[in-house]
Amino acid sequence: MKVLEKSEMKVITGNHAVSYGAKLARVEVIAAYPITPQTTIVELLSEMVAEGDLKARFITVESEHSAMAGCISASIAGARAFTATSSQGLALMHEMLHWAAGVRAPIVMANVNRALAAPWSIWTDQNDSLSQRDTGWMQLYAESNQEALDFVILGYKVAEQVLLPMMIVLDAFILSHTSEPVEIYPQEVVDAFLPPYQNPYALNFDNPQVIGGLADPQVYFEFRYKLQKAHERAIQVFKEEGQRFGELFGRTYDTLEPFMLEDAEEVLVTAGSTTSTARYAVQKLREKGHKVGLLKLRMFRPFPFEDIRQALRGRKKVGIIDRNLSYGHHGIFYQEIKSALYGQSGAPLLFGYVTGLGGRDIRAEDIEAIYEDLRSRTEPQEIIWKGVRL
Amino acid sequence: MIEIRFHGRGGQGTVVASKILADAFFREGKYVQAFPQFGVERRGAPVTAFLRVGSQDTLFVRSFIHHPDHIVVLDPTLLQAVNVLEGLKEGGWVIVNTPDHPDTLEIPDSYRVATVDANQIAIKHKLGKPTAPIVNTAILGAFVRATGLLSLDALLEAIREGVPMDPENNAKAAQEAYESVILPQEVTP
Amino acid sequence: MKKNGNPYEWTADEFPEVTVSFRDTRGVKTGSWRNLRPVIHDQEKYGPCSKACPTNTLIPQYFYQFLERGDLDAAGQVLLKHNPIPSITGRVCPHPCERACNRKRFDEAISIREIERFVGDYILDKKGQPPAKETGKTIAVVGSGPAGMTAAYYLRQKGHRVVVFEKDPKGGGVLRYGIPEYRLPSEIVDRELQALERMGVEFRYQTKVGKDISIEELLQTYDAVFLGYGAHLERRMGIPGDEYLMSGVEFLRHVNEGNRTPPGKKVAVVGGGNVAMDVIRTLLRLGAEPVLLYRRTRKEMPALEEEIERAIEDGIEFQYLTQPIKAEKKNGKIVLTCVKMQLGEPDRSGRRRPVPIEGSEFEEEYDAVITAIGEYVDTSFLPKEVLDDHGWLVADKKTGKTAIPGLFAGGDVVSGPATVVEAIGWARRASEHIHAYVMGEELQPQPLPKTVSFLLIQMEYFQKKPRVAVPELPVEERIRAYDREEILGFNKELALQEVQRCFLCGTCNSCGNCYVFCPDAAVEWVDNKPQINYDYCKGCGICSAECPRGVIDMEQERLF
Repeated sequence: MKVLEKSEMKVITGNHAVSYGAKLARVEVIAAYPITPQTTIVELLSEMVAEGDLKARFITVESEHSAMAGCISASIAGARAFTATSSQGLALMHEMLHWAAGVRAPIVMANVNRALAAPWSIWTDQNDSLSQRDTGWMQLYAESNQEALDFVILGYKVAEQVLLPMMIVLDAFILSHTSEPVEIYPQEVVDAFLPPYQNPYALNFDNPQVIGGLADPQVYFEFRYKLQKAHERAIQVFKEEGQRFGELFGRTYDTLEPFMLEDAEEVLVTAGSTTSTARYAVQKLREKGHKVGLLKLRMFRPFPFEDIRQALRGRKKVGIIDRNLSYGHHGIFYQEIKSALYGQSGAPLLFGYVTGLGGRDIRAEDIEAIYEDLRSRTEPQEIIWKGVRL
Repeated sequence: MIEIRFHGRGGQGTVVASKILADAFFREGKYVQAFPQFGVERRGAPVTAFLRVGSQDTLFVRSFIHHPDHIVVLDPTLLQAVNVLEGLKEGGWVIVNTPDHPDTLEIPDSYRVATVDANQIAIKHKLGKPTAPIVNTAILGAFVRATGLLSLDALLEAIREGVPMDPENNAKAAQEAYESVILPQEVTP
Repeated sequence: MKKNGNPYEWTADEFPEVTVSFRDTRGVKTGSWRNLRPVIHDQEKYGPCSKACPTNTLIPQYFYQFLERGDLDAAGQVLLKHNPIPSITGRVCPHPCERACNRKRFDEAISIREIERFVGDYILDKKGQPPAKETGKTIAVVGSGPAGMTAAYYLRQKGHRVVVFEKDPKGGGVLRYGIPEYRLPSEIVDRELQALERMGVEFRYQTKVGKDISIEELLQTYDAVFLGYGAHLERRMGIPGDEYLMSGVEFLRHVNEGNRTPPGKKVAVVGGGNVAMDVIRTLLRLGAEPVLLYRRTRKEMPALEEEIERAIEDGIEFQYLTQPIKAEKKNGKIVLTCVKMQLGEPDRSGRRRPVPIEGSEFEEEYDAVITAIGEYVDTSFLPKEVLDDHGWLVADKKTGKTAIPGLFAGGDVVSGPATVVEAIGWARRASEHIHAYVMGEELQPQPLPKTVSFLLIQMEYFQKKPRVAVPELPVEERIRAYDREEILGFNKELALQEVQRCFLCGTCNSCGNCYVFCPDAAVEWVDNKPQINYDYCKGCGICSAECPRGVIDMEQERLF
């Protein structure tokens, strides 16, 4: 389990893994507002700050909107800023999320995936983070507590190079409140990977400038063009830094993660913690002789079109498991993968499985049933409901 | 892979029990996953927590445990209130916090039952209030003795390092439960 | 990023990565948007304390020197601008400032008088510099009490020759002969007079104006005359046997002249004012067993609440609703006949009028009876044209001017018996007009400074903290010690602790809130004080709203 000899292994929750990630990243400003199931992330950070284990300013605010505003201000002043939220809190932040990306503030934020009201829910699904897909934020989906910790560190490394904010997404309770072993790296190794943030555009008293001021139609467009270009660059930067992370910490990260994919004819696609259950199911299906593989979507924004095309080229059928739904359309991962494959030669048939909304349990048997369903179909299908009582 | 389910009531330390036991197994080189059945918790309401234990290369699912190998019941009244035995595999252990003898509990013969008076032990070691004792560490002592799945030392170490308040008394409670657990006839030494 | 040229012609590659403005924001003078202007009135406003004080002493301003700059000498100089004898008011002032204190509505008022006493004592022997330049004008001051001392101080400070005429062998007037030692030691009065002597003020003792020298002579000899003597004559009761009753004012003078024997063991004191309190508490300290006879109840007593409380703490017996109606002398004792009273309808002063209860007369035998029912001013030697129909001296409260040019007056001589601090305030204002008069100048009326109201104090920035207790003699010790001060006063540490509680209403202590909160960075920090850069200030008012102590006002911007 442990890769680096000087690391410490701890059985901790996903939320605390995020807190340790932020501590190792030496964040300098934390502005946050509590919300279930995120609260224990910033709670632990506030204790670290109070006890002097983390040299940072902890700003308590009256809303998530202000939490993000505080992070943006800190970031454009040159500090490494962090926050965490979930669901309704993320939704309240929406306006400020655009601001963060627009002023190119490389903030890292953990979002604990929780279903949106109404009706009230505190359990997991992906609609909260996916609703923010057009804000200009990068998004990484964690499968385990270890990934949650690693993504905070890796997140800053990428964000600060491309000047884009990064959202680390982890499932409510299934990761946030689940205790499992996590490797906490020695600080000096993290420091070697992630140097202090140097913001070339940091606010400067000697040369005061407005950041994010009014841009007339003659200049707005160019700034937005550059925002898109930064996203396009970010894929390559993420791949390189994910590789370097692996060299230092023993865990290599790419935009996607294949599992038993090589000769697979049918492929299931997952994101987040469902991947673990799917892995188990795929392994069992393989034992039964099925040529099935699993593709984990780790990076959602920027969307890794090219990697998706390569991974799925030549497969027969692909079943995409969405714990989310774009109402009036289809599962969101389904849509995105479909758009990546449009017009590609050798594109597989696509099947969109919507399941597990609002924290409905997804068991290994459910994944196997999805696979059985996939095998039985010959015509592509945009929405196939799984687990809803009909 | 071993799957364990905990049944308790809000305030008894059920979720912490799953975490402490996870940590104890981890200290013995096992890979672990402990999690609560996430709800809107409140004092006195039934609480469920889960623990998976396996080797390092185990692939863990991230669903609830529907077919546990063993169960731990922190409050005997749950035996009537909730179907705690649901999905329990045959031959599995049922560890119950009660002063009664295992044979007096109406639990099918296909399960192994061990009882411990964790309330009294917790009160004796000043854990929680006399009217609402925190029995989690005591019942874990009983679990270790009955199942033999891990050593008492690993448990005591996990308690000493992981229990936020009064770890020493908690360790004593676990030790006493370990010694006083009532096992079914056939396994009593 | 391209640094110059027209951004409208740049390609996207030439744009900065981050959406920063193309120019230094200082080019945009947002101050033109403003219709309200924040104005920093540092030290220009009154705290409610200053407003309530008859001298208008700049209390927060001198506290600031002490507290923020640790400069007691500078604090003393600010204090002396309005009050030349703070070591005296620091002991005897009824402190209307404390009743007005904004902090009173938050927790407890600041102990302003005790801080004043500490600072006043600190500068007592340091002050008294002669003026740098003499004007050649001469001014006569009649009376060396608080009004006379004040006029002498400020007029001498202006460079005039000042001669003080005093009927008694020593100076100080009521301060020396009226106020008992345990409240104000005569040694303090001596040192205050010495400060005036160091300035070059001349004193003519045992010179009674109206007898040894007339007002007319003074007016001819001097460029101006200031009447500042007090109300020394005691009202009589006007009852049969009045001649057996002793005057309170005279009793106090007697004791202050060194006679420390009480007129008997069992002594009645008639009255309920401050002189009655001084008399009865003095009697107790000299070994008598005094009893107070007052015709109304405690609620109507005109003495200061603090003095009444102290007398009660002393264990003195108060007989309320008791009015003497006859005194007789029998076997060397005074037999006093009294009648019990009851309260009727309110009179003109708003207090309920005492009405005798028929048939309630009773007799009581005393060794002595002292009356303290009010004092009045001797105006018998003053020119008729400055008196009104009742024979009272008429002088303007703001200027001290009387009907005779060059003759000014202030203090008890005009108002009748009042407080030391009122006499100081009046005399200080009069001294400015005397100066203008002798110099042939016109004094321009000054607008009154604005007062910092409680609403302007931002309570979020203050923490509750009780008043610092003032060290005092224990009651059992003080009732036997006429010659020891009963209030011991603050040392520097305690004074500093107490002054730290002050909101510093209207005085900037460089807290930096305006600087921090200004959304336009238009508050600049110069020499550790805020300064508003009106080129950029949009007049939003946040600096004013966040100033904890009401220093910054938003004022209408005037375009023309």
